[in-house]
Amino acid sequence: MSNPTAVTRRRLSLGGSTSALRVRFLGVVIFLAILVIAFSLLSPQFFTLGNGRSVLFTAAILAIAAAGQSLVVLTGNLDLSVGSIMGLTAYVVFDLAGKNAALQPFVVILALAIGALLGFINGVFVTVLQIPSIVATLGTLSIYRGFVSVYANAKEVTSGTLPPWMRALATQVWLGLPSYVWISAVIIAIVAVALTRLPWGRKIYAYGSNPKAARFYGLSSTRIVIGAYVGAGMIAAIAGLLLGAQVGNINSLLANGIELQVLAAVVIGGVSIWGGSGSVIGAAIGAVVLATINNGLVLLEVQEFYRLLIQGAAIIAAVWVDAIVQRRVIGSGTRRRIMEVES
Amino acid sequence: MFTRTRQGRRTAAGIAAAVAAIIVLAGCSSSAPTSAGGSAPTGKAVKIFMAPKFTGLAYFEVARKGGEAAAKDEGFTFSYIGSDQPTATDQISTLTNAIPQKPSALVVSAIDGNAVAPALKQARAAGIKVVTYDADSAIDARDLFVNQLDYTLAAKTMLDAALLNSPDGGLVAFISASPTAVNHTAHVKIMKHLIDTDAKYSKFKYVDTVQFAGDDAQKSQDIALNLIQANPTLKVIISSSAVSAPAAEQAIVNAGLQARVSATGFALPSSVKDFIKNGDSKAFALWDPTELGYVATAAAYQLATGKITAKEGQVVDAGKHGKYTVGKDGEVDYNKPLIFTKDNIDKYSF
Repeated sequence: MSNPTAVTRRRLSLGGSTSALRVRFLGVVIFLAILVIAFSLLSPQFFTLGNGRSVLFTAAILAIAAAGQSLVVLTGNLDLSVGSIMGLTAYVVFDLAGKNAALQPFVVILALAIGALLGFINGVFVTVLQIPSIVATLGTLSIYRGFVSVYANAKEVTSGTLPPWMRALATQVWLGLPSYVWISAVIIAIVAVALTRLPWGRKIYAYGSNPKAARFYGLSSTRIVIGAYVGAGMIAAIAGLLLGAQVGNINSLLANGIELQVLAAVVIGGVSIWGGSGSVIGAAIGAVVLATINNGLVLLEVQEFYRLLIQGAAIIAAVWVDAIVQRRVIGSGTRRRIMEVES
Repeated sequence: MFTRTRQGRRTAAGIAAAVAAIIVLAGCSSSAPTSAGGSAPTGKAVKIFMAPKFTGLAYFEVARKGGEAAAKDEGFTFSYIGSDQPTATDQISTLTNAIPQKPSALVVSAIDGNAVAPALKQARAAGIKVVTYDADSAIDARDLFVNQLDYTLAAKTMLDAALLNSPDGGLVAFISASPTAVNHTAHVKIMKHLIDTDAKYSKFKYVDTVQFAGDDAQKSQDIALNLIQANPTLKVIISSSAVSAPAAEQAIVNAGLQARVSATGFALPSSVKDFIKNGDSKAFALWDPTELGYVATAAAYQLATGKITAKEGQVVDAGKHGKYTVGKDGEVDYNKPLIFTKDNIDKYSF
């Protein structure tokens, strides 16, 4: 088992697309299966079509945000400002569109522009100013949230002023699933393809797995990292826009504190916090894991205090299951690969 | 009063020069009328700080307007302080930082009744009067609590709104902000008790486990959806949180389930107008936050000027906004519930 995998890994070391990635999120799939079986046994309501739909819906926005976060984590950095980008974008875009109906068809473009700008600022802090990403985005987490607090001036964007088509989108069901689930799936698919097929994505993997080697081979670290932050910012902006339309009444605290859940989804999904390894699909499944836990614990009427304990334990358990799977399936392959890269 | 000023100066001497200068200045301005009138300060020398649970929430902003109006009417100085983060830690640092600025009184909505108690006690030890409004702290940490609705009235108001939504009763579930939100916890406890004992509400049954959404819209929505999945016969979701109640209703509308289940509880009329006009929910409830802010701030002013001492039976005079008697444990009940329905929601501008 280990030999063929190692060969595959070596052949695709830059793109890292097929079998190695498939096992990369095998751990989280197994963990999700364990959760589903456990909750199904404990609660008769859990394993029903309606509940499955509900879980996927509550996971959709988190999964989108996690896909964006993965881009940055794959470069070996973090984006703690994701919740602030979501909140700022949703508030500013819907506030502008509410005051000026002519902007309503362009909310997505507006959001992407704002997200790209905020991501770019993050990227510049991390690369040009050489501030460690955890510090830089901790700063922008506050700055972006502070900006929207000042901008909002404690007002709310109320549901009646949102573009009617965005409001309708939040309630639509396509082919039996909420529209947000489909939108989430499409965004994740686009990011997954871009990461594995486009030079932009391949460079992110290459840089993340070994920044020194990537630089040695002439890859511009500044451009790659800024590119990842811009991509993450744009995806976070879309997640914010969707969340705003879903929530209806938007205040300056929208998506406050969501960054820890997003990071948890990414880590549970098997994306290495050190960069270079993991997949957006894993991160998306990580989001489904978190949504499943939240759902299951409400179904089982678990008290709040226990819930926090269980959520924390689940994060560690998921990563642990992932580690076991990794060791069993590609154990020696990975080790060999690391030695090759370092030698 | 005199002891307070002297104590303040003694503390000031120990602190860095810049800070000391500010405090001495503040001390001077507040001592001037004292020496002139021989009694507690009045008018501009009285400085009142209002601290909401956190800034950025429209509900507290509306209450702030009441505080500002009271300051204008009585001619005292009013400031609005707070952090935009909805955590007890942030509120504690807001309050702790307020103490050296020597306000005459603090008007506080406690995000966590026990967690902020030490900070409030520290303020009281420094001679600052403490009034809680909206959400109470531990009783010994404040002088007065201006309660929008006494807990039983609040519980009844929400259950009445629930009855408008589901006249035949049925299963209800509760979403609170946190297990440490004193008023939310009390509301739920009394609602459960009323359902168990009061014939008017006996058509209801309830889900025993309370869910907590921390005044977060997205979390409220996720919980609402999960509650509906967990309880196929659920009729009404009730929340004391002005964030959670409308968010839960929005989640219901998003899922197209408004015919089966509805949300109610306390919410600003502006945030539920659409639901009520579309018939998605028949009723939400609240009180007038502006008037509540006015009464709480006026009470703080009267404490600071020595007109009242928070003793049971004394009267808080809020001018055109009414007179309110101090009850047991320093509780002042404002007690003017509002229920918003299709017929009256257009009347309210907040």
